[in-house]
Amino acid sequence: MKTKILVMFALLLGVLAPTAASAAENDARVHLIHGIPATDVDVEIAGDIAIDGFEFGDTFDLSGFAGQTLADLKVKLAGTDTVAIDAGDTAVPATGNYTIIAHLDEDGNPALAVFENDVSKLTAGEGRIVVRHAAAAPTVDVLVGGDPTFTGLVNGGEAAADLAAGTLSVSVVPAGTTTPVVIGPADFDVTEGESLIVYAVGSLSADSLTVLTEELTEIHGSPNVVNTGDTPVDDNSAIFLTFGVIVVAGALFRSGKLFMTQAG
Amino acid sequence: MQLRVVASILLAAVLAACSSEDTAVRNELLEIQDTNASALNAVPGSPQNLIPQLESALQPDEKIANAVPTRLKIDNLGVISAPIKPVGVETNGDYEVPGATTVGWYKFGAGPGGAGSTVLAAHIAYQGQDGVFRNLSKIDIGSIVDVTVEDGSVISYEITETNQYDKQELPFDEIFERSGDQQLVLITCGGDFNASVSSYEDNFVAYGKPI
Repeated sequence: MKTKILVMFALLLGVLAPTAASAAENDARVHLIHGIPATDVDVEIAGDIAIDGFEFGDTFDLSGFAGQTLADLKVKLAGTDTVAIDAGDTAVPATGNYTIIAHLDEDGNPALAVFENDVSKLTAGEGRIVVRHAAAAPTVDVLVGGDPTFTGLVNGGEAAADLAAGTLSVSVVPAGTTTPVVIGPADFDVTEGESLIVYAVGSLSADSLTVLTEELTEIHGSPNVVNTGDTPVDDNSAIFLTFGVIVVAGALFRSGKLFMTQAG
Repeated sequence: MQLRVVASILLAAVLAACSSEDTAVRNELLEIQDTNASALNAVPGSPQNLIPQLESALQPDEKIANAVPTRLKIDNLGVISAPIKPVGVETNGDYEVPGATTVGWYKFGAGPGGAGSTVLAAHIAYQGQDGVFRNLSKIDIGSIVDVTVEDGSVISYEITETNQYDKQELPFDEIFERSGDQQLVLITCGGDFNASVSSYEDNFVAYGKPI
């Protein structure tokens, strides 16, 4: 249903500005994520409801709006006139890869954060993990396999690493400590050639801290080289060589036999 | 009597065909179930069990199940049933190619049935021994290549194109493509042999489409 509304809305805009919309669609990928637990909302653009009943964890593809300005963007509590986020006129990037997340700021107030996604090619064999702090919580460190790997992460901040594909055990702790673990430890699969984006969301004081994940694909690298032979072959000489050995061996055998016969 | 034997052989063949198809479908369903299960349990240790997975909506075909190839048969080249091993890259980033008698499937890319390229590489000759792809450069357009996958079913490809490239100028993005049409890519070495580095200058590549 939500998708249908989006499509209709995109089509409408497409009709109004066909060139801009179609050009933009190829150049940008912009997703909107709902990252506020237990808070159903409606998203309103220019006074009309564009997304009806947008729930925690839902994602909404804004790519069709790339390069356009969403007039008077408001996020309201679902079915009410209570404005949770008043974003005003909001420009959607024309190119690039972005995720916009509706989340709680450090003080627990709803806010929108825009993250540009790193879609640079990976090295073959590696995946990318990106951690983003979008929770009502103070500065944190992220432990990977028990070691502080991403430190001093503040609300709205992010950290990333490219590493060998595999499973990571991740925990989130207050900055500078290793306890208490406020999220996790949880296992995340970092897939070769893909980016796994982990959002810490929710609220520490409301005991609703959790994570949302997003995956980006088509950023894999390739092997440097394919070495498939360390031994020379020569199609013609190989056959002649084999044949030649047989002929020579045969000749030697015959002459040997002849010699022996003569000697006997 | 003879007729009855033929009939039961036919019946057995039909049943075998049906059950292998059923198995394939069942495996597919199981895989789909697994995918859903892993999406829901992605974060077992988190405070909430239900972790919504946000997939990139721009690549809806990305998650097509890839079968794991196990054996390769190319009648025209006398490759009867070469074992296939899943491989990745060496620590230096080179394609990990197994010994002379085994084919290396690039496990990070597609498998048969998946979107993009299923890449199989094997030696032309290695440590003094002919490799599985000793005669790959002699493959004809239109040749049939049979790939057996884990559940025993066989996926056949027809060779549509061959090409020889300088090793450094391999069309890597095209060969290691992970979306779009299914294709089989067979890679070996070719061209001049550089004795000083015990390596060939070129790669010979054969491309196939599923039939």
